[in-house]
Amino acid sequence: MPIEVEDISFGYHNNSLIIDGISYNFQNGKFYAILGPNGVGKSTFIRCINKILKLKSGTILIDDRNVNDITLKEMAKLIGYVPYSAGDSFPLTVVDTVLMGRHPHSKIGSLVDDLKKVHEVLEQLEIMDLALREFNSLSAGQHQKVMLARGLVQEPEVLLLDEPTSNLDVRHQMEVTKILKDLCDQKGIMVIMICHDLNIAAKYADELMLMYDKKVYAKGTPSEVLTPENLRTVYGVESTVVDHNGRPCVILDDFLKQS
Amino acid sequence: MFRKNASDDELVQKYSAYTFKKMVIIFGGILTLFLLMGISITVGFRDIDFFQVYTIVFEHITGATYEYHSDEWWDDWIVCNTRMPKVVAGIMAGIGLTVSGAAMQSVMKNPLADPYTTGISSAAVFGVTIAMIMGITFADINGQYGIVFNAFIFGMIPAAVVMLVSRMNSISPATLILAGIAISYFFSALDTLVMTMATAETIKSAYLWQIGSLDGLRWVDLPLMTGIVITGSIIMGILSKKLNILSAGDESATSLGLNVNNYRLLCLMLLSLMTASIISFTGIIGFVGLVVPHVCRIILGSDNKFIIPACAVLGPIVILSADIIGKVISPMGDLPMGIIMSFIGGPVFLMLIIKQRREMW
Repeated sequence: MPIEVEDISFGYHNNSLIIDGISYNFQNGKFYAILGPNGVGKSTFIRCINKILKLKSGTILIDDRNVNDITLKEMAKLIGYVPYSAGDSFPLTVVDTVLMGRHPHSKIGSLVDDLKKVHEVLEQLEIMDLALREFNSLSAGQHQKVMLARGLVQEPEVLLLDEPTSNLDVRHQMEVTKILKDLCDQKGIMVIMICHDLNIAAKYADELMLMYDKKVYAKGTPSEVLTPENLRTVYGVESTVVDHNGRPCVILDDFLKQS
Repeated sequence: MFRKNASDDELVQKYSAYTFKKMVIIFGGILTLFLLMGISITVGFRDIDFFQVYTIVFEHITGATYEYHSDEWWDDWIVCNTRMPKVVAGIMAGIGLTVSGAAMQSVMKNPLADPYTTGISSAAVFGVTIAMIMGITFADINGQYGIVFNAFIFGMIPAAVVMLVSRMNSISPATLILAGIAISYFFSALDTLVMTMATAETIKSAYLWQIGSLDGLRWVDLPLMTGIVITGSIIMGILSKKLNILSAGDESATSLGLNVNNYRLLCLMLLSLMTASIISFTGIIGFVGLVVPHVCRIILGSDNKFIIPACAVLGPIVILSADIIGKVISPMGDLPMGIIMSFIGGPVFLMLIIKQRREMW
């Protein structure tokens, strides 16, 4: 299910765009990482894809269908979304929180099947022991795993993730990103993940999209995008990029003093 | 990559046991409510035995007749025509206000939301007041239907304002409640203004109606309120999963396929109608709509599929208990149960919050 993004813009007010003229073609079964400094519109961009935000201009085609012609329920079956933060809410159990992900598919009498799907995903993410714990009593890292579980039980063809590993330790970051990579390789799911860890992105992603100043600054394979020049312009850092098992590995040297 | 586990049903079994425990607690509440109905009917000037109440009601239903003005006739008349309507009205008010409170808290993602803090109660009261004092109604409908319609139309004004404000960017749940409270003050002021124009006798009757009491309610007052409350509560029960999703926030709800604005509008309209139908007959009964949903959450967790039915049980329990205590303390009936409820319920709720170890919000 390819996604074609054609020259899209979004802003809350007339003269203030948050993303401006972004185009990109996302292909089936690939792992995309979106990189860029804070406030360049990464989260806004992925929230435009699944209609959480309405475009100001431009077109998004999902499997050649305009997103405007796709209902929210259809969209939820096609695209799973893992937010950056769950936010404050009344404390449901982990099972009930993850069960929400079955909403687009659930029918009367489907609870047992839905619970079995939740069970599979909780086992996969190794959080089965949290099943009946209250969501609000968990750590930030556990929250992220539960949110990921909610996105996975949607059984989507595309998974959009907004910094899903930002609160996880290094091992769990790798573990979760590996699960996402396996989803692409084994189930043909497209993963689009916002990420701040350049080396995790370089290790697992098939393609990177580097955003800067509301636009796409660079796109391509990790080796094409993660260059010292790009990182200097976009992040304002000096870096050395070395090859590690065929993938680029970024070593940060210093940050540029602002003039 | 998703491996099939040998113990595939483990979660199903655990979840069933978890659900069963909650259902047992709710069932216990239903039994308690049934007992309280009996107790509430026994309390009053004429002594009627607790078990006798159930016998009288059963015989009344099966069509028993008594000699005019005999002891049995009086017992039957007092139980079935005087005390029962009040009990049924108390149950309906308890169900409607607490289910509305619980649903509003989820719809607005705000633990402080209830018919009162959203301004719906005050606006509905104003609608009733102008109907009572000035005879102004939105529709050419006489009697209770005209008053309920007025309360509903005015109750929808704060609901609409809250909806509009919630669509603005960067509006926090706290701001929504502040908007609701501001609207509440506005309608209270209008209400007072209208009252100052009325005669002393009209002011007295309007004031006595406003303070929240079940006194004077008759069977003829109940069908409209009962119909709206029962229908609304069943719909909220059916929508309980969607209420859970709405309480997860607009972004999550949209990504899970829910049209947030449509559901929010539907729920707020329904909840305004439920509130209006109750307030038109009982006046303002504060406290239950805000507090009972939180007590239910402390006991049962926050899943609306348990909270909605639990509120429909605990709300009436709290109202009937307050009514019984009021009648015991003051048999003349001059102590409205709204006052008792806040006097006893306030400190009890405070104690629950302090003792509560889990995070409520």
